[in-house]
Amino acid sequence: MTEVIRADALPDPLRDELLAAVTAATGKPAALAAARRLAGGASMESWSLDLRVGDDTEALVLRRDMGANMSAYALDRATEFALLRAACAAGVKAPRPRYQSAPGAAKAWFLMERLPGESVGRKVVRAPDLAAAREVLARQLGEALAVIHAVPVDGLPVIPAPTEGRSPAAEALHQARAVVATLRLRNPVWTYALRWLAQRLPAWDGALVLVHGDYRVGNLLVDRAGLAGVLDWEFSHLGDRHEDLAWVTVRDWRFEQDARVVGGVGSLDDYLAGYAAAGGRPVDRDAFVWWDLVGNLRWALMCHAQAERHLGGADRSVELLSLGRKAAEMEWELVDRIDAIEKELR
Amino acid sequence: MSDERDAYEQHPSALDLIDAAREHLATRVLPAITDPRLRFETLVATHVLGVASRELSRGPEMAAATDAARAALPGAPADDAALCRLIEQGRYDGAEAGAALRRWMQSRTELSLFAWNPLFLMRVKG
Repeated sequence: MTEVIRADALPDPLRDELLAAVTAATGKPAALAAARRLAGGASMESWSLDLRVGDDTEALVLRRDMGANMSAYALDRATEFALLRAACAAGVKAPRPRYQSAPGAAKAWFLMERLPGESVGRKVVRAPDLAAAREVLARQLGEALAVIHAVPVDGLPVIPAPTEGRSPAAEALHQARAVVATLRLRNPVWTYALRWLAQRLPAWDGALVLVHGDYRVGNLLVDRAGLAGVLDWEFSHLGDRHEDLAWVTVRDWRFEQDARVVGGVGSLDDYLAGYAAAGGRPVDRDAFVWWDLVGNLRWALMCHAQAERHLGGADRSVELLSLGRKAAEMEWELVDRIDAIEKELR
Repeated sequence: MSDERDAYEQHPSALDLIDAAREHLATRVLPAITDPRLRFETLVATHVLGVASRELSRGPEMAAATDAARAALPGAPADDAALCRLIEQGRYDGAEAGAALRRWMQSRTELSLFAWNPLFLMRVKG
């Protein structure tokens, strides 16, 4: 969802800060040609900007901190900038990072290239002009994820990783318990799911890969040819590939196209075939299911955490508040899926 | 008995107030909004009033049924905190107790969904 604001609506001090940084990086004069505020996440502001740099015009997107931090595990802008650079260098389809704020800026930012395409989830799964893209998208999502998971980790900036001696799965449950403790709410579904999952930690082959951390429809640019770029890298970390693999299948990311298990656009078979064809390591079905369930639990907890931002007064917003009730969708899913697994075992 | 009702401060009822505000947003305010962001936020505001309305209209009945069903679970937990403690102690690790707990949690979440998004269950179960 975007709202159009006139070019001069970009605050002057911010404009001057951006242009000075671009000139410092290029040695060329820079000027703002167009600016449009994009509806971004709740912790970051985004702008679509056209800059004249010397004789060229660059189409860019600005990502800038707003002050509020959504998660203790989120990357800062400088780290995200370095990560994007490493990912692009390894062949990942993502916007190239271009310029960044000087160290010590009050609100850090970076500018990245602006790629064409649609990112709004409900449009990606429904827009008539993306019908052909949806035919190939699940396979492309698998292929692109295999490329991400093959990015050499020794070339990455320092990003979160499981605590020494803990598997990625154990780390995920540890973090979920920490969120529950912060929420100070009791919910039998969370307690039951945490116990059930802890008793069934998946086998882990020891491979620590670059995990995008929020790989789903809504964070992907899609054009008529399919996947145009992977966005929103702030939750990247080192972990188990199955975490990324399963996240896009969480029901809420299907945007009501429930039968299309992968992001509301395609089938699991196409997705996993794409992953394997692009060199992805073998997929353990039990681990995949486990991470799918953890994904539902985490998203439910995150929804409650968003509601708390409103209730605690930090960010008054009826939208954030409403997410606390939306969590029931993921909680229902958790119970339903665990029940189906238990019935199958009997 | 006539069909007259007491007219204390509860009349019109909280439900009447919420429904009127929801109707006002839906029929008068939303059509007049052109800003996409404001429109989305107002849609959410309209929706949450619908949630509150559905919950209030069935609330006491729903809460009583849920509490009674929870007390009938193995270990007879008196409230959610007690139930959580029993879960952590392994009281529902067995097949039958686990199945009973999951049935209760299903009906509990379905009540929440009836208020939040009645279409969700129709979609995922249909």
